[in-house]
Amino acid sequence: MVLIITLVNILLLYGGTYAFVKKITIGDSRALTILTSAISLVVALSFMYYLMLVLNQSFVVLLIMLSAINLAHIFITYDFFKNYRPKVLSNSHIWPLAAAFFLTCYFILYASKYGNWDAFAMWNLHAKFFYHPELWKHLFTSKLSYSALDYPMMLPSIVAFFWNAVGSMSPSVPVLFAYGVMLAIPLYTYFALRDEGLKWLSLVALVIFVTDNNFKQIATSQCADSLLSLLILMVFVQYEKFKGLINNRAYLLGFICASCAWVKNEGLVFYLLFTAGFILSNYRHVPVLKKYLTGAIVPTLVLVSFKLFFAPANDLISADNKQLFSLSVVLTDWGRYATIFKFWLNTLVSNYIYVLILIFATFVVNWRFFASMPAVIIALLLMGYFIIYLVTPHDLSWHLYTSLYRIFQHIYPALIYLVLLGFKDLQIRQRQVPLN
Amino acid sequence: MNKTITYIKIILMAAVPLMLIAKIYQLNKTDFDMDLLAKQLAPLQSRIKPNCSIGFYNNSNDPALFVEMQYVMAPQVISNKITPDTLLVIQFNNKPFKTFPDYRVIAQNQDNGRQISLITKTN
Repeated sequence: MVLIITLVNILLLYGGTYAFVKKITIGDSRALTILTSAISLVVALSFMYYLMLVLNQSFVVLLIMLSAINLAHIFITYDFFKNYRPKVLSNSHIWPLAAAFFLTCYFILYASKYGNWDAFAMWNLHAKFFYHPELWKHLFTSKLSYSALDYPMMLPSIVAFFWNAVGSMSPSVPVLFAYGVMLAIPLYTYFALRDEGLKWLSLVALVIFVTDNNFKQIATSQCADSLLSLLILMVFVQYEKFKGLINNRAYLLGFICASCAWVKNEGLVFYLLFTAGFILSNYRHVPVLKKYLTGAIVPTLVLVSFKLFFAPANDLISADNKQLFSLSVVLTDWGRYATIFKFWLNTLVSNYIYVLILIFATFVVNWRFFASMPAVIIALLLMGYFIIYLVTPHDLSWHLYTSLYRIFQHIYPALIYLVLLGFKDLQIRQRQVPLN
Repeated sequence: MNKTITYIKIILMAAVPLMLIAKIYQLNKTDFDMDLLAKQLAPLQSRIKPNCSIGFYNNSNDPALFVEMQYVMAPQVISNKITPDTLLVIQFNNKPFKTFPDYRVIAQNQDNGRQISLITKTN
């Protein structure tokens, strides 16, 4: 019964989200709008679930709240859906369907029930605490081992939400959610590039994701890295569509960008960098900045409340990190730089060869890409990761070995999208060259 | 040509959810290490008082086993130490057994080549 009520509420809420997203993302294809709405809805559900936990309420109260929201918006969105005509899939949709088929084949063969170490030592373990509204705070006071308690809560709260909906802590929920994220990344990239008229390059993106085992392995691991990469991809897609236009898309951009910080601590670094870049590039357009910051308010407040009142200090900035007290020693330890560089190079060559090829191609034919705002933000983000490794309190080799292959995944889909999109600018420039 | 594409689309649209359902069914039917551990721990879980501090010992020195057990027992918190008064002890039959002379056994379960005991300090 609870499951049915939850699903009906989600469906209605999706209708409202779709109507809202459609209004502020004028010009996007229907497929992209559907994906944007669905992802934004899942993100919003995680905030609502957190609110429920903070207010010590039960899942039933959350359902009542969702029903009230639905009753309020259903009259507003009724007019929108009165004229809605579902479209039959066109022939071009065969490619995303084929990609979904091949990704599902991988999922069938390799997805494990409980994910990898981080999934059951951290993400799903946290979700088990959040499943019980009366016990969730015990997580932060407990002395759990191998479990980073300061990690933001988006993934565990989504899993806990659906566990409450099905009425048990079924392992199928995180498995299915990981599958959904794995499908969403290639499809979002494909439709975003197709919206720009890049028919063949959008297919190239699909082929890259379908044939990339590293991407699929991380996506099915039930960790939060793929979810973060999906949101970062969304941010850059929305930013590229927003560029140069003064419209309401900035609300969505702010919301999704700030939500990155609710997935992982690395997302917080991205949020700060992107926001700084966005403010610098739009400082003359105060209304745009207002919209961006309005969109970011809820995720930012949620994150600040979590970090201030619940989460313990991060191991990098806690008093236990002796590296911070000997910064000068760490920063002049050239051996650490060499180790990090070596690991980065090895990881890029063995796990991210597609990126290397695309970046090389961009360097040859479209070097201006490296001066663009998204490229600078990605470079700064990588620099931030580099510094984190430099001052890590853990054994450096162990830290690099266990996390680097996943860390690059955060920017991987966005980089593929941006690099392929860069070839469009190249085409336009070539057309603009006057003939002699 | 258009008809062929339409048929392929229909087949793909049907195949993807069916494959997904089959995978979920298979995952639920198969018992993984974690499921075996959960089954073996289930009778002991009911004997643990809520919010009581539980320690842990295993004779295999495998950190993965502790993390799996921590996941299965959550939201009951288990610490990876033997200092608390109540301990969960996992001892593999093919490894040397450690004895806890000052403890009494509350519950015990022998299966899958290992013995899992819930023991508490005698006053």
